Amino acid sequence: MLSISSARKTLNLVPTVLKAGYATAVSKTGNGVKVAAIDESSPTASVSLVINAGSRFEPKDKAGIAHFVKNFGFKNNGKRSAFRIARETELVGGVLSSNLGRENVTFTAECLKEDVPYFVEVFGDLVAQTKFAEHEFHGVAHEVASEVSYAESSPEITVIEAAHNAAFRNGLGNSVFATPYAEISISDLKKFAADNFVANKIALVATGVSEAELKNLANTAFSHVAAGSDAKAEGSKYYGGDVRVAQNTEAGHVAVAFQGAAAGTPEFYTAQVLRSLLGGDRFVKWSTAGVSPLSAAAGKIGHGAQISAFNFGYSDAGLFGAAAKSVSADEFKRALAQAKFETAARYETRVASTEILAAQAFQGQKVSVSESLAAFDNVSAADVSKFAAKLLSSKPTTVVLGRTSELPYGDALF
Amino acid sequence: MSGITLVNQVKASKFLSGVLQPVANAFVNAAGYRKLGLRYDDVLREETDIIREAVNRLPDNEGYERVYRMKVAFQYSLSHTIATKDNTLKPEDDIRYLTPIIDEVAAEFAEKEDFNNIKSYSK
Repeated sequence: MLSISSARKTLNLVPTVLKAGYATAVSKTGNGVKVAAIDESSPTASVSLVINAGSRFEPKDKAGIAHFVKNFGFKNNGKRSAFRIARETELVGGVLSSNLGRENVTFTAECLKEDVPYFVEVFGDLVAQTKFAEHEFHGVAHEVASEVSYAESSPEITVIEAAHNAAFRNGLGNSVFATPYAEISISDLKKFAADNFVANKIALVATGVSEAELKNLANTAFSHVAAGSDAKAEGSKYYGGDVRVAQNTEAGHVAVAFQGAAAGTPEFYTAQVLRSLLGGDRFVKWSTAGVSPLSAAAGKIGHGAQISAFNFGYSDAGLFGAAAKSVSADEFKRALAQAKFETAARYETRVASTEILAAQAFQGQKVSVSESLAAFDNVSAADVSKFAAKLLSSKPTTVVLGRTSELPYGDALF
Repeated sequence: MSGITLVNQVKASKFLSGVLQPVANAFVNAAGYRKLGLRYDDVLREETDIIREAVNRLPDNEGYERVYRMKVAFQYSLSHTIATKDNTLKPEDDIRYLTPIIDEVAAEFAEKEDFNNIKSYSK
């Protein structure tokens, strides 16, 4: 499959906030599929099919099924074989990708503007007529297994997944990656698709296309999609807790997380500001000038230490924290304390909101449209400190990975 | 699989079916594969790419049944006997279980050939 890169964005752990950003331009097709478009004047366009079928919606005994569904995108459907989709995409010069988040599975096609109708049709077929053939299942299971083994070999991913699992248990706590013991069969996949590929759980999002044109295309392509029930997903509850993962890694990994803010809420922007101020990722290698408190602390500690803050926002919950590699408990504590002190001081000097957005973009995060500058202008220093205090009042989630006999316990850090 | 066929015309016409169906039945009985407990699709030559791929795609239980029937037939062949009247495969059991898969695979191979020989031109 030359033009399909399903692993390309598998590890993009920062969720794209799609909801609030398109609030002014969201319309619906006849049967309830949401449609949103940004009409940029560029020669290329991108179309994304976003299905609300992420790992959060996995049934309890079918852990990992969403991972299989992600890898089943663009496989044989009633109208075209997988081979034909791949070849036709190559001929028009498009790029297909699939991405799985905790709440959404996203299939994207980047193409020239004139080929958007073709890909909208492919998406319609994907939703309504994917065959889920038995003979394809073996290949997909193989792909899933190799992605899972990659995730297992990456301590950073393991730490974040463990943090979510401890914080939210089921729902948002489900791992994005399939488990090695997953007993998923092709009929399970068909049932999951039947339950979740329904009109009220699907959104078609595009850039480089006009709203009207996209709505027209969506109306034809998604006309055969079932309407879907109005059942609400179970609300998320934050628990918190400790996780210790024993692995033979040279560098110890420690992460501390607290109950954050749901995406799109005003508190979420406060959290983003706090995250940017804490920072951690150095923009310019080996430079210490104008650098955020966490990365300065990491630089001072030396020997490959890395500390960075993270802020995950989901539809009804969030997780905010910091992850550190190769630092001792005392060093981590000191770094966090210093960050707390400096954050307030920095904010007094009116860090411009554009700087924050630029910082995020530079760090490789997706700068979502919803994070307009206005939202950041409303965040005051008082908000930030209030949010930080609120964070610390929730039960912390601590993840410790590495040679656990040598690494600290959660309450030693707080 | 390929070649000129008048199957649809014969099936559509009551007269032709009435004449030719008994002839076809006699032919199948004379062919004798049912007397070894085999179905028609077991007898297809599987040393071709298409049929090999189709056999690989058989559901597990169908695959095991197929192998079992072939083992039974091989035993008959070794012992120079054929099945008794009771054990002979009944016509209603002679299902063409592999043919739909063969058609699917043949279509895929043909599609691949088409795409490999595509000629593109700029508008």
